[in-house]
Amino acid sequence: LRNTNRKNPRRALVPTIKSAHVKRSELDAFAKHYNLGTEGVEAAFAFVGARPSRAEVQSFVARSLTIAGALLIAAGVVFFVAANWQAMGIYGRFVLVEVFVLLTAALAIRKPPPRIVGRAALLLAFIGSGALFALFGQTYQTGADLYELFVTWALLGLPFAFAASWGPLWGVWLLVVNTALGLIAGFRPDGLLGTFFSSGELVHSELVLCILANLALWAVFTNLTGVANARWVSRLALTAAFGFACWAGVLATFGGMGAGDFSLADLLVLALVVGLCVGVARHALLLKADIYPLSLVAGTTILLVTTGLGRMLVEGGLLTLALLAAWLVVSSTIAARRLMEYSAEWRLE
Amino acid sequence: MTRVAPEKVAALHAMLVERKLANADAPPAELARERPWFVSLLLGAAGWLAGLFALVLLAGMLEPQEKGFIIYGLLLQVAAFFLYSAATDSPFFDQLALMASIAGQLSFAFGVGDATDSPTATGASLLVLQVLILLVMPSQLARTLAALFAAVAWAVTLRLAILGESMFSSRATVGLGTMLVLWFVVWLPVIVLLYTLVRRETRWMASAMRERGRATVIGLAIAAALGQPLTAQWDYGGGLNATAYATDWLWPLLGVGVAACVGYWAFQLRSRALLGVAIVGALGHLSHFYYLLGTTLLQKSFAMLLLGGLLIALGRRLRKGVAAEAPP
Repeated sequence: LRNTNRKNPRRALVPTIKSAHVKRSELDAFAKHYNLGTEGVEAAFAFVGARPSRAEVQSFVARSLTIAGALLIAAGVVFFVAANWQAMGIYGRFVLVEVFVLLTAALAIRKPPPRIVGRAALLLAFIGSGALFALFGQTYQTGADLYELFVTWALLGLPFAFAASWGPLWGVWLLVVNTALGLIAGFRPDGLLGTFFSSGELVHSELVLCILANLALWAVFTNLTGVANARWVSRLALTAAFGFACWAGVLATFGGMGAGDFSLADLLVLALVVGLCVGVARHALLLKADIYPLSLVAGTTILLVTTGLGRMLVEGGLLTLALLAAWLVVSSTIAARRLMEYSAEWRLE
Repeated sequence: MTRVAPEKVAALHAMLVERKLANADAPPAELARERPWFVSLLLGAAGWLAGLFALVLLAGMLEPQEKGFIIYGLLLQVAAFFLYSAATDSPFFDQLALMASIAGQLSFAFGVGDATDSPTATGASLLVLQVLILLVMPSQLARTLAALFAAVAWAVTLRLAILGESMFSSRATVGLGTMLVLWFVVWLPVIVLLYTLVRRETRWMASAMRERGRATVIGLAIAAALGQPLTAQWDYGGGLNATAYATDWLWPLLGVGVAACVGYWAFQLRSRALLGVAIVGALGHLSHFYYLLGTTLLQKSFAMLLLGGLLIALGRRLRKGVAAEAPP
């Protein structure tokens, strides 16, 4: 076991909880097996670095405060612009937001990444640029759709994200991209469920675009190390891809409802979702690095088969209920078992 | 089953033996690796849904009356207990037991609600049931879910007891004092309990209560970070109106504060999953500000700019302190 109690607090300037090589549940089991007393548990804690050092805690708090402060200032600027909308002239509005973007960009140049101040400044600049595009769209009434604002924001904000090479900024960037994709696919803020089941307004091809775009981003974040510097960002992109796949799959499953049969588009979408599951599973099994993609495949499969069985509920009655309960128990059991087995094998290799 | 590498366990054991804190003759431990949060989520969600289907199936097949639902609910808990006990290290029986337990809890809640016609009594009885499951059920997932639902049942029961009929229209009929009393009565014990459990972690880890303690910490932390709307002012009658009270800002602020505490404790426990829950909770409560139409945008803007600047200055000061303490 590596003693993760860092002697040099400078190293703890980038606080992390990665150092927990032995997790709490494992320590619980260890304490139980060897019947440890309080002193024994404390010694084990110190040995494996189960509790963060004072320097680590201070760094964590400092980092959290900086990120929270940066986000609050960004939101405050957006609110300030909105509040003074009527009172300010057009030039005043633009000057205010542009000065904000310029100041934050200048701060990032002065204290460049990977310093936290530079990264936080770039995050602010990215959010400020979004406010600037919104201002432009509203002032000149370009007639553009709302999704175009988000697409422009995502594209023109890319340099900030690349310059920061920082997970939180890429996470926000992914949210902007997926907001644009969601708007393209038909999501409207006045109610997700209403949109989800109103298949008439949704076009399958747009949902397919959302899946493929997120899949491409996942490939980029997974293969180009140093872009986001965080595995959770690539996982977020893949989660979004599977989120849209579930949306498309559920719609396609119920697409034939009422009409009595599936349309060709429904079948194509279902085939694409199956292809996505097979492709991602195959890739994960070849790479043998992370079971998260496999768990998404498992979850999507369970959801779509459950939805398919649910379609039969209208005619099947109680028998279908029994079938659904049995399917959920058996499928989730097998999935969890296989996932944990892969996790064990890959860790050893 | 995935296991922690034996050499790691052996090194830790050797260190403890050297310090005479562990028995040298004890056989080497085979420690199961912790299940990743997303696998637990998959199992929990599937078990919940299966439980729901099982309940409808039960109701359709047996057509029980109010007491029947209560009896079936309790019988299903007993069945779940035996399923968990009979087959340790069997995910299939674990899932089957979870399904039975969830179906039983829902059946019990439905039966009590029907028999007493009192939401407060139903909430209180569910609280008792969840605490019993937390203490008795031999499954960590079941215990954790029980701790989470116990906290939710605690908050809902107290809200119903204190606000009574105005449960859903508290904005119009309940004063700030009452809402504050409700918030403190619900969350103060939860926060104090969490604080104590985190602070005295090594003590309860050295006792037979370690699994229950762990489940309680996780369940309560999730409930505290995400469950703040349970004690906020609601107004479903008239929607979000423009004449909202000037004190509305208090609820999301309290929520963010509690979520921040949970985040700090998650870092202490080195739990990324709990840290993620705390961040989601804090962002959720913060976004609530947008809907507080009783405060002007300008006021919100100044509050955020001021607070943001203050937080950055504090962070900077802390970072300088850490750098100054570091050896050259």
